[in-house]
Formats: sequence, C-alpha cells, structure tokens
Amino acid sequence: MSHVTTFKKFTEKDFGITLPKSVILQEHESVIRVYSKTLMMLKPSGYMGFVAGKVSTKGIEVKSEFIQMFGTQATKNIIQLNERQAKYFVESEFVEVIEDGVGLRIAKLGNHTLGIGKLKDKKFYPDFIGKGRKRVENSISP
Amino acid sequence: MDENQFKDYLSTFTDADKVLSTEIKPTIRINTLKIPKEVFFKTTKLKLKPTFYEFGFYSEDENSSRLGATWEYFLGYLHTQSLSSMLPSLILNPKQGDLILDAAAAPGSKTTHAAMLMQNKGAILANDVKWERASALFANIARLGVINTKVTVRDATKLGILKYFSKAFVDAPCSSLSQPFAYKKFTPNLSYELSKTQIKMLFSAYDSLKPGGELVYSTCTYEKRENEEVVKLLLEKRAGAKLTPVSTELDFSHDSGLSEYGSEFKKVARIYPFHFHSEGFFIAKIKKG
Repeated sequence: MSHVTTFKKFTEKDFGITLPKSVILQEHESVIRVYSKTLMMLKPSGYMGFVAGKVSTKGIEVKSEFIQMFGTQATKNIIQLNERQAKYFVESEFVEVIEDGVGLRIAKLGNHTLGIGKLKDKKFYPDFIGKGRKRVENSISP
Repeated sequence: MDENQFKDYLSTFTDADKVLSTEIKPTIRINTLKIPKEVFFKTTKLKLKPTFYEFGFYSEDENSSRLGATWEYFLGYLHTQSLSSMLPSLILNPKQGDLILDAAAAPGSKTTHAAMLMQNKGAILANDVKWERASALFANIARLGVINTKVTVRDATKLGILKYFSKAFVDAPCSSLSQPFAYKKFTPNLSYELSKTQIKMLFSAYDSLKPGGELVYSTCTYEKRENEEVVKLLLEKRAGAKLTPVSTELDFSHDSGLSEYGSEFKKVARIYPFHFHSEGFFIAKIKKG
C-alpha cells in the first residue's frame, strides 16, 4: 500500500475525514502534501499546496494545518479542550486530560479545530506548531 | 535623506504634511478559505471597523500590534495585511480558471488573498528569490489553508517562462519610502539599483503572460524612478502593452500617476496614507496585447 493510501485510510478510519474529490494527496520528498486538483494545470515544478503529514517506519504523522482545514467535520477521536488547556496546546506543551487511550486525537476548542496531538497516559502532546504561531493571548468565543 | 529633505521630496508631488501626519491604522483580512465572514463575526471578540472592502477591517483593539497573537490568527481566520496591499489582488481580479504568477510572493499576502478570491480553484505559482523569505510564504499558505498554490524559489528577473500565465503580480522589492523612517536609508543610487531589478522582474513577468493576459505592478514606495519610470519603459519596449485603469468595483480614493508622464498615467494609482489610513502604494495594471 502506498504511503498516500495509508495516510488517507488512516484519516478516514480514525477521524472520519472524507476529503473532497477536488483535493489531491501526493508524496513528495518524503512528506505528503495536499493540494487542489486544479493545481495540476500548472506545469513548472515546485512545492504543491502544504504538508499534510508523513508516513514512515516511525508511524503516521498528521499535521495540525491539515486537520484545521479538513478535520472540521471529523466524527471520531476528538478531545475538547478548555481555553486554558488550549493555550498550552498551541504553545506546544502537553495538557492533562480525562480521556483514556493511546494515539492521535483531534484537539478542539468549542467549534474551533485547533490541530492534532498524541494521547498517552491521559496526557495530550501537541503536534509541533511553528514558532510564529505559538503566542495566543486574545480570545475568541468557543 | 533626513526628515526635512524627505518632506521637501514629498512636497514635489503631494501634500507632505498630510502624508506625515496621517495615522496608519492596522487592518486585517478575513480569510474565507477557513471561515465564512458571518461565522467569524459570531465568534470573534476583536473590535473591527468596516473599510471599503467587504473582507478588510480596521482593528480598533488597543493591542492591535498583537493581532498575530490571537486565536483568530492562529486558526487562519484572519491575516494581518495593510488595506493598500489588499488592492493588487482586487485589481488583478483573479478568477477560478486563472493561471497566476506571483513573481515576488513572500510573505504571501497577495498570493493567499488571490487564492481566497479564487476559492482555492485555478492555480498560482508563488515565487520568491530567497529560501529564507519563502519559509514565511510556506507558513502562511499552510495557516490560511491555501491549496491552489505551487511555491518556487527562483530569480524572478529571469523566469524564462513564455506566454503561459493568464495573470501576474509583480510586487517588486523597492526603497519602501512609505514605511516609517525608510527615508533615512534612501539614496538615489539605492533607488537606481532597485529600479534595474524591478525592470527585469517586470519584463520577465510580462513575457510570461499569454496574449490578452493582465499584470499588476506594485511597490510601497513613492519614488517615480521605481514606479512610473519602470512602467513607462515596459510600455515603450513591448508593443501591445497597455495600461488599464486600476479602478475596480470598489470605491477607494487615490491619486493618479504623476502628470509629467502623460495622461495615460491617470490610469495608475498612487495611494498616500491620507486616502484611507493605510501605507503608501503605487499600483499599475497592464494588459498584454
């Protein structure tokens, strides 16, 4: 099974994410990128869309940006955070949660899809979030 | 230039006192690729005031300088972008079937705005000359949920692509005289050197357009050598290149190009801070014959 198929099946099975038909996943330089089908019109080579994740011998990695964009309708494996927990989460620090289990989970603050993290021993570890995106002070209504 | 010299310089073509005394208001663009405008306003606590553009808003928060540290920014619901710099995308008017070149794309404000206007359909080649700058472009593309864009890192003065794109942006590197204190670093020689790069970028992007294609050339400087002069040279050297009016369906106030370049330059826009409390800009729209 190709890495792209593995990634797609994982996000479908574990989160209930169905990608629109207008969207393509493709592996390039060992990461999986997500882009619009219409981008195929553009011939010069370059970096398509943005990074959705990675499949390697270490397992499956899903990026928060992919989940923010396509995980809003996810139906499974979601952890609701409160605002205090959410601030820790986006600062790339783990938060203690009541959920049991092990594996990747989608983080939400109310209706807002924050990203993805790993749950283990009731601790929720966020996917790395870029430096420029770590500070969150102002609030939005969850 | 010192402050007095800058004032004298500005006075040769505009009201220098008004330019220098007008407050620049921070603005944001709501990113409809991530959230519909109505839903955004149901959730945000930011104090926002409408502008002439339906998705552009003045921020009236006391901490406007910290807009990049809000949930709205983190989630990609908004992009901090000057109102003036939203205009090139609106003037280029990208459509869903377009193939678009953004010759100097980083940090990606115009690329991501065009993608939003195209609702992630069509295709944009977002190029920048430096990897360091492209990293900001990658980050904004991912944060704002843009998937109709391909990023390249090439020298835009020699793209070597002919008759391919339907539309193009050239937001050229410039002496940035509309930015605070940039006049301190300004020298005629600096401007001359920049203009050489601008000319090459503009010609390269123009040549990459299909016949009938359209290009928006913009800078954030007031210097005519980097604005009207660059555009005039293209009009002289490329038969069929024509200026078209920058006016869109939007009603935004602006000055015309400098009259010394002729009536044709009434079609370009010079934006000064006093027009709508945003940074100074020069914008020209060129159609390929």
